[in-house]
Amino acid sequence: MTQDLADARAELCALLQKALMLELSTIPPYATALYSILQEGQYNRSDPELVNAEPIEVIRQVMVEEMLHMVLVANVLNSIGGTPQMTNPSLLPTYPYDLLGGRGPTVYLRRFTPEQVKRFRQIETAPESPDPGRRGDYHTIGGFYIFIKTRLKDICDSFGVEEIFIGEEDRQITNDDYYGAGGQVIEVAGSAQERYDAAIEAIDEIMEEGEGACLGHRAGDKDPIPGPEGHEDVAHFFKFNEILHSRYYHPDDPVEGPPTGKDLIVDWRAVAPMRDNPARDHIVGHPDIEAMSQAFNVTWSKLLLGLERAFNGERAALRQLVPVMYELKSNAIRLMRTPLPDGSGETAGPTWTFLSEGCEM
Amino acid sequence: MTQHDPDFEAFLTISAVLTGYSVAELQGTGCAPEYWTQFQQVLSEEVCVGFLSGAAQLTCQDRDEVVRDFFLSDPCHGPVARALIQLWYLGQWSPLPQDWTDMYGASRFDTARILSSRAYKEGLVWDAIGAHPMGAKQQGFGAWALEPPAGRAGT
Repeated sequence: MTQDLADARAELCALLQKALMLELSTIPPYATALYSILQEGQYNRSDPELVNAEPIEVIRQVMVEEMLHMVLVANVLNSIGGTPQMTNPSLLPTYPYDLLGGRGPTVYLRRFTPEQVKRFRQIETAPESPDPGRRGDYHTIGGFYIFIKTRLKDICDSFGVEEIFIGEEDRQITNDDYYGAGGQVIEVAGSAQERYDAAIEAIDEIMEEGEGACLGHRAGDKDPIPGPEGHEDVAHFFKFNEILHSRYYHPDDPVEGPPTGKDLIVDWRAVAPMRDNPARDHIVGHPDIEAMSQAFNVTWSKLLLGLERAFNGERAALRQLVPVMYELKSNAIRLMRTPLPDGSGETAGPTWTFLSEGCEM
Repeated sequence: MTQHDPDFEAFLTISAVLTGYSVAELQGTGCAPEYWTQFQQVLSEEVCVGFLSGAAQLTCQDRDEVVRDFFLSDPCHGPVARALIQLWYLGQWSPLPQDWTDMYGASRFDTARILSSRAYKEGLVWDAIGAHPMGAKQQGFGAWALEPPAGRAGT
């Protein structure tokens, strides 16, 4: 089958747009579980220590790395002249959401439970072998990125890197634009060959932080966890495994074995009783709660609109989104404390619905 | 459970009218059960029942009138209503006046204190003025460069 240059570029853009939505789609489930964990003073006033501080930190680290991955994918997409879309309702995830168009696991919006963390671990599972992914037969996020790398390489071999990496350089998000969470931004800039190398490096970074797919048999992802102790970080799959085992990995732990590091204390009871898969149906006819849900969705929409602007040339928009993310968190927590009117004892929660109108920044 | 406790519901209904926030917003602070406990600890059962009976009046009469006549101007309910408003806005219990306790009874729980760290963070005052509690609920890097949120008055 022969493919002309325009088709080849369109194929790569479509794949990277899917990757962008894939990274985005993991954030609402992770954030929902994270914000459902009760924080200091919320459940035991006689013991003011921060309850569940460790799982909170572990999930938070994963979440900010997913945000970094989104920025990396946007940079690769921009480097080949694509247009990252963050506010197209037909592309945005709605929950329950079938990852990879149904080839991957289904993800739900649920509170922090062992079942939900097992599902997170499944999302970040490495492919058993890279070969099926190269052929386009992928069922994991890692397999999908292997496919993207394979197509990028094949298409660059056919048409030459100069024909593919034609994006404007000033659309690249830099470390100056990105408030250093989750690691370093890789700019896909320079000569065409340099851009190709940087694009591959960016995709490898995503895979290493995700499931550690391409690192051999260590749990570590070679990045240090920011902080005075400078521990080596582990990939997401292993982070979720740490929560399930109540124990940290040592970076040199073999991937097949259980974690062997320090204790990690998890209290599964200190969690808001949020009803699974929050939906408008749960609160319809209760305008007070609907207003709180609407406030959350307005903030979520502001975030998506801001990301779209930042990924399409208006890089300074990115920094303004930090307060929006904090606002999103307090809106979510407020919902999760509000009992549902049916008297079940369960609480409302965020639906993560994009509102296309009426939420200008 | 507090789900279908009519007294707790009356407490929330009255709190909503006195503060200007909805029952859902008050629940959203996560402080409602804690404040309800404080309220019951400070007031004698008789005063408590009398105060909560105002909830029924709110549903069938003019709200402003009930707030003025039944709550704020009443010698027994007035100081309680003011303490309750301050509790929701500041997360702090303000002791009832000496005249009041002489008349309606004193409680060892009737002391000035912030009820909990959450009560401080969730005080309605922060939302009302479009600010955030100092030292908590940080707004994130660069927030100082942005216009503050409109607050309650602006919405």
